[in-house]
Amino acid sequence: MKITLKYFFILLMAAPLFTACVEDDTPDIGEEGSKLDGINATWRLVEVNQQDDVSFTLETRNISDFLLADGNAPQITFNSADKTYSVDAKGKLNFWGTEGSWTFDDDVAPTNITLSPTGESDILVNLTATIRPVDKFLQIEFSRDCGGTSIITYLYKYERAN
Amino acid sequence: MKRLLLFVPSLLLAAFAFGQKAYLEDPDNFDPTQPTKILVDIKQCDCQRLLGAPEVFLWTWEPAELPASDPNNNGSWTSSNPALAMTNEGDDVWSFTFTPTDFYGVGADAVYSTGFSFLVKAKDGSGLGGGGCDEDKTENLSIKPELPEVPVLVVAGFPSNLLPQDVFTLVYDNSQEEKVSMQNLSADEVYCYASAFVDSVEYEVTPFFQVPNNAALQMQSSGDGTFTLMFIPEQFFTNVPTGSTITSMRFVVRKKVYLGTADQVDDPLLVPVGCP
Repeated sequence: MKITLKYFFILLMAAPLFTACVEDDTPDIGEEGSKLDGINATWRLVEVNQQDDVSFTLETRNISDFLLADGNAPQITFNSADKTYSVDAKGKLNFWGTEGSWTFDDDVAPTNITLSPTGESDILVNLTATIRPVDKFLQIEFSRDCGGTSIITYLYKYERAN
Repeated sequence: MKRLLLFVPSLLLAAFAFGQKAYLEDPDNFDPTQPTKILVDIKQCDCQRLLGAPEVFLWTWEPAELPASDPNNNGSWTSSNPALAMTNEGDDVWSFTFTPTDFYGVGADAVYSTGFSFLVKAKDGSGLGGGGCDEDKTENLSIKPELPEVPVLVVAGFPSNLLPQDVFTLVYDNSQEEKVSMQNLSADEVYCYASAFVDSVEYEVTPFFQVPNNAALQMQSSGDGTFTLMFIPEQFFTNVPTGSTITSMRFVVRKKVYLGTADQVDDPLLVPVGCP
């Protein structure tokens, strides 16, 4: 019994020696994906939060149920080839119009998107997470302004639908 | 004996107030948008090299670390910004008075969120070098202001300000209801009378006594004693004439079965709509 325990502890101590020799098979990260390719898709709304920018604590409420409880999620489609977009709001909250054109502030490292709904004024939405081809979610925020002061910020999370 | 009983707690309170390293002069009335005095008692600090110092300076990094271009920036470690010189209150207590939101260039929410992080130092903080208490500074200090007490609202709206196209949530917290006849309502028992105003003209969704016939006016139970009703004013108040702009909304929370004023909340909620 004593000998078995001794061998067990020797083996336990030696274990790191063998694991240290395992070949590193982590693949290279490779080139960073194009954000233009990343956003080029149809996106289905999965979560919306509403932030009260007037409150001291920036109180936030999840309003997803209000928009999604019927299972009919609004969608937005970005086309990177001709820089157009279209919205299927399903008759719900929609600040983006039904279609228009769009641009990133920087095609390589975008921080925001300018939406230009047909026949309406431009709308600035901020990207709150990067949007590469591998990213499953498009996360943006949009502020409602009153004379240059934001009173509400909507935080949207869309899921890649195709 | 009675006097002694009163004296001991008073002494404890005084010891607490005067035993702090860093504190607000008037924490109960703290408002980040108004002048505020913070005080530091060097005698209470772990690092004591500033005891008896002729001048000391504030060195701060929260709620924001200001860039060199900002007139309120810290300066350099060997030469503090004179604008951050503290006032000698005597007995090794030093103060600095500022309006937090102006000084740091942040919103009140940031002040409450992070509080103040800072230390007190000599103009040249090097001392003996090597960091820690061998330098001419205190250890890192912080003050976290308490959020102001917000009165509990039985009926409230979210968000504080909105436009007619925004999502609005009416919240009724039945667990906070003081009116006995309205307490402990069941999940299907709460309705809401709602109307919109275009200037002084009122447009009701449904007349008060027909409210239970309109399912859109039933408030949804969250299961914790609160009930909510969510809508977009522009879509909800369908009888507001096209082209008119809603300027305010009025709500009265009531029971499904209404026999009299005992079956409604005491005060209607009025919510302005539009830019403040």
